[in-house]
This record gives sequence, C-alpha cells and structure tokens, in this order.
Amino acid sequence: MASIRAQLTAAYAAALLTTVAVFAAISYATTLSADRTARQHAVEQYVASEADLLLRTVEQAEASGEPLVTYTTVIINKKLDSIPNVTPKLRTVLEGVPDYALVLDAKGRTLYNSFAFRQLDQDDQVALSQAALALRADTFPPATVQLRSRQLLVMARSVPSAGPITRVVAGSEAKDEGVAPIALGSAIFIAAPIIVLISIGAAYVIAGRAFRPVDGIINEVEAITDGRSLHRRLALDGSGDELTRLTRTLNAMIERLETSFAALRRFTADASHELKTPLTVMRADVEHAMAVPNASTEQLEPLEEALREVRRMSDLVDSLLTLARADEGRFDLIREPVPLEPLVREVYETAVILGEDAGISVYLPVLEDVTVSGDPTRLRQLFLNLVTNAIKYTPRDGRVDLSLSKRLDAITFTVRDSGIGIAANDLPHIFDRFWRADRVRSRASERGGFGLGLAIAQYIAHAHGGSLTVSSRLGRGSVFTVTLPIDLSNS
Amino acid sequence: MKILVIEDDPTVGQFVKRGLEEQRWGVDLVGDGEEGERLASSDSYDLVILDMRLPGKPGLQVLHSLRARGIVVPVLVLTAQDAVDAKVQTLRAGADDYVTKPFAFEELLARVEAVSRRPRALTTPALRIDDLVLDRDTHEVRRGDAAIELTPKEYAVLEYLVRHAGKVMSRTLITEYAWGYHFDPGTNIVDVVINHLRKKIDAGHDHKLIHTVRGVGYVVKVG
Repeated sequence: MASIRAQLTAAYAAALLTTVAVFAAISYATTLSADRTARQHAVEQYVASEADLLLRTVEQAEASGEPLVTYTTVIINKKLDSIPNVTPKLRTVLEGVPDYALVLDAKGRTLYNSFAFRQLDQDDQVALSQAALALRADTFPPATVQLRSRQLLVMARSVPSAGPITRVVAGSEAKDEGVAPIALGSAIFIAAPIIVLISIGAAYVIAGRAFRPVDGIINEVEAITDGRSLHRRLALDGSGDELTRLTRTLNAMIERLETSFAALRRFTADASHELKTPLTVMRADVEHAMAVPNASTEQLEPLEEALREVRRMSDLVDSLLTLARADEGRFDLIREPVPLEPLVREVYETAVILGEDAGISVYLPVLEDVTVSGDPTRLRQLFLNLVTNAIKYTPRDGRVDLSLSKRLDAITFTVRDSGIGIAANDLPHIFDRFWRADRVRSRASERGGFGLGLAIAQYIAHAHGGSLTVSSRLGRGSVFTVTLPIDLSNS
Repeated sequence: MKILVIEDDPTVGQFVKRGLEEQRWGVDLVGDGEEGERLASSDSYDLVILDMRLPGKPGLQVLHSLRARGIVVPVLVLTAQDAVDAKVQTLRAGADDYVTKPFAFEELLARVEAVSRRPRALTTPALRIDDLVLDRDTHEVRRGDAAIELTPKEYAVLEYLVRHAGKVMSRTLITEYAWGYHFDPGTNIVDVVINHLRKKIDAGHDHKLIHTVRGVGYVVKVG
C-alpha cells in the first residue's frame, strides 16, 4: 500500500493532467475553428481577386487589338479539327496569374489552363472543366468544387466584350483542414508537461510537508509504546488543527495504557510475592522436616512427594510470571558472555543419561567453542528443555542428534530426533501456552509438564534476539533449531 | 560468624535460623524493618540476611539507609521478585547478593558462604568418607588407591551426597543441586546417575557407601 503522500500526489497529478488536457483541447479546437472561418473568407477574397485579375488581363489584351486566339489543326479520330488556343503572348501574361485558372470560349472549349490545373490528374481536370462551365458567372462568394484529390473554391467571370474569350475561371484550394495553430500547439505541448511536472513535484513536496508532523507522531508513538517509556507524552504544538486533536487523543490513549500496564506490573509483583512466599514457607517446612535425624522412610516419603510438588509449583509460578513479563515486552535477562561449548556438553551429558534410561542413543559431533552474550541459566533451561522433549517423544532404540554450529553472525543449536514427530496441523501450535497434542505422545510412566516448556523455550530464544523453529514429519521425527546472534563486539 | 536475619515470616525465618545454626553460626532473627536496621547498625554482625517485604520499614529502605550511613556489613537480600530490574535495584542499593524465593537452603548457604568471604571449600577442600576422597578443587575422586573417572554430573551428585553423608538426600534436592531450577525431566534421572556411581565406586568393595532409601532418595554412609 502506497503512502497517503504518494496517493495524494497521484490524485492531484491525475486531476491536473485532466484539467490541462481538457483546457488545451478546447482552446485548440476553438482557435482552429475561428482560424478556419477566417481562412475560408480569405481564400474566397483571394479567388475573387484572381478572377478579376484574369478578367482584366483578357480585357487589356483585347484592348490592344491583337488577335487573342490561334488555331491549331490536328487530326482527332481521323477527322480534321482545329483547336483554339490563346496566343503565346497572352499565355505568357496569363501564366502570371497563380493557382487554378481557365480561359474558355463561347463553345466551352478551354483556351488556356494554368500550371496548377495541368498538375491535376485526368479525372480531376475533366471534373474541374465541367464545373467551370456549369458555374454561374460573377457570383460571390465562390462556389465549392469537390474534386477527387482536393476541394477548390472556384469563381467564374464572364468577359463582356464580343471577343472569342467568353469566360475566365479562377480557383484556389479551399484547404478544409485549415492551418493548425502551430504556435498554440507548441505552446500547449511543450509547456503543459513542464507545468504538470513542476506541479506534481510541488504537490509531492507539499504533501510531504503536510505529513511530516504525522511521521513525527508515528515515530514518537513507536518510541513511547516500546513498553518502557509509557510515562512520556507526545508534544502538542497548540495549533488546534486535526493533528493536534490526533495528538491529544493519542496522549489520552497512552495514559490509559500506562495505567493498565502499571496495574499489570503491580499484579505481577504482587502475584510473585503472594505465590512465592507460601511456596518458600512450604519448602522451608518440608526441608526442615526432612532434616530430622534418623527419620524413617515412612516419614520421608510423603515429604519428598511434597517437596517435588512444591518445586513443580515454583517452576510453574516462575514460568507464568516470566511469560506475563514477556507479554509486557520485558525480557528480564542477565547478559554475560556465555561459552556454549561447556554448556552444550553438559546438556549432552544429561541427554545421554536420560537416553540411557529410555534406550535412546544420543550423538554430539566435535564442538567448536563459540561465545554468545546471554543468560546462562536461561540458555541451559532452553537447551535442556529441547533435549528432554526429544528423549521423551522418541521410542526405544531411537536416536537423538545434537549439534552446535557457527555461522557468520549467529550460532545454531539443533536437536534432531527419530521420534514420533508432530502432525502438520499441530506444528503451528506447539509453542502455544498450555498446548498439548491431543494424543498419547509420551510414555505412560512419565508425568507430563504443564505445556509451558516450549512457550518458555521460545521466549528465551526471542529474549536473546534469536529464534526457535521446528520442522517435523509425523512418524519420522522432529528437528528443533535454536538460532542465537553472536555478539560481534565481544568476539 | 554472627548473622542477623531480618525476615517477617516466622516459618521462613526459623528455617533459615536453624539451618544456619547447624553450620555452628550464631543467628539472631528479627521480623521488623526498623528493629532490623537498628541491630544491623550495631556492628555486631558479620552478615545480614534481609527480606525485601517487611513491616515497619521496607527492605530496600533499610538497605539504603544502612549504606547511606556508611555501614559496610555484607547484606544478602531475600526477594520474591526475580525480575532482573528488581535484582539490579537491590544490587545498586548496596546488596552484596540476592536469593530468589522460593529457594533451597543449599543455595542460601552457598550465597552466605560466598558473601561472607569465608567459603568452607577453602578450609576443607577435600571431602572424605571411609576410603572415598573427593578433591573439591580438582574434582578428582579416589577410593583407596584407585582414581575414579566421573562425568561432571556424576561428580556433582556424589559431592552432594558425600557433603551430607549420613543424611538421606531426596531425589528432588539432588536433581535441583546438579541441574539447577527449571529442569523437570519427568523421570528419575538421579537413579541413572546413581547406577553409574555404584558401578564406579561400590563395585568390588565389600562395604557399600551408596544406599537407596526407597521412595525418597539416597544416602552415603559407611555400613
């Protein structure tokens, strides 16, 4: 999802582009249309003046008294014919008149046609000649003649004298498409993108400015709600705008959070005390009773039973409080350099002892020593938990493989077993609190835990900035992998 | 050594008092913060064991005012709070160490020895019963003339039993000593270790040292 800033800029750009495009199109069309009308008018005037010029030229030639027409004898269709033509002298003068020009005699024969006329193809020449004859002479505005290749405005003038030339016709291209308003076009096509780009840039900057206080609020809220800084509040700028109201609302929310977190912390502390003090008392009583000299087995056995239960309860209380604190985002850990080689060896020895009882072989390859920064008690708890589980869920004659390896910036400790495995739909839940697979997993002789072991194990891994992951196939075994970052500054 | 225990809970207080007295130390027990502070200031104790929640004056305040007045007697704090920040707070206030409730007496004892800077291990490095000798510095074990190779866990279990020779030690206490808290294997791991120890220590000897107390634990004794 794009940021609101980007969305705003995009919306603004789209609106601006549409506006500019519509505006450009309308102004271009309007200009084009006005221009076309003006142009049409100019062409009409031009054609009329050309027709006048032709007429005057013919009249002047007539006034000179010289013959205007010569006849050429040709044979057409085996018949002798004589074709009239303007004299070369008159032709020369007529060639001075630009565009389309025709000079006709009374029989409608063409005595002269201009260069432009001769450039037309045969069909258009015929069509124009016929139109020239059919036109009503001396009417303004000129008539429109549609040829195949182009459209002409054509005007005919009759020659009033009794000479051989009776009609002159002038024409010019109507240029229906008109001339594109180049200046306007280039203005639009060059300026519009620049304007749009600048505007988008400006919009982006302005949106950024507008959202900078929001970014600030986001960062501050993140810093405050990390669990340790709830006493802090967001700064109010006092401008009374929406952001100030948002800030006030957030501050009120943080205050409520602070209150409930404080209550939770108080409860955790109280619960620690209220639960642990009686456990301490019970433990003290039991230990003391056991220390009586020459106590009989009958006296000791229930005491040992009680001691074991007190210990289990203490462990449960400790786990619950640890997880409660983890929920608050507090990772209570000692941080000291922990050499893992001796720790893993100790865990391995324990696994071998447990495996011996359960008929399971445990393997550990040669270890290289790596040191992580962490809480040795908690790391021992994490590793022991994983090997205890692996042994518990592996049938007799199975095997459990431990390994510790070092990568660039992390170590991995893996526990691989050939046990009963975990069903795919159970896998996502095994780190959940109090979750226990709904099936006979462990040997009947053993008493299970509270289902907190893996939740605690994962908490310990997370609290060290690491992870605990599992992969498993039902009936084939499971692999639990602990990854812990190596404190590079220490090594 | 004379120790002052400031603890309002009578059961815990008496338990600690009796346990320490068994070590032949003189122990005074008070249940009130004000009274405790007055006694601790009297310069007649080598060590103060101070509970954090006290009537009269909270433990942390007692600690603060003791240190503020330049009284340097070692203080071992008992606390139910095992959050690291709470522990750090007590250490910053001038405590020398802390023990988290609930605790095994063995642990308290170890802390007392460490804080009072009179570790027993220095005065009696070797543990001895019959012809079995444990060197607590080197972890070397001999029975008669024969050196016995033990794994670390085997040594830990044996040392614990020999240290308390003649007393029945419960499986729970042994497990806790050798593996620490937070370890619940769900099986009697101690039995397996004891089997190893029997093979290494008692096999081939007429008089056995390791004896089983059914349903409870084990005892090391002669005969």
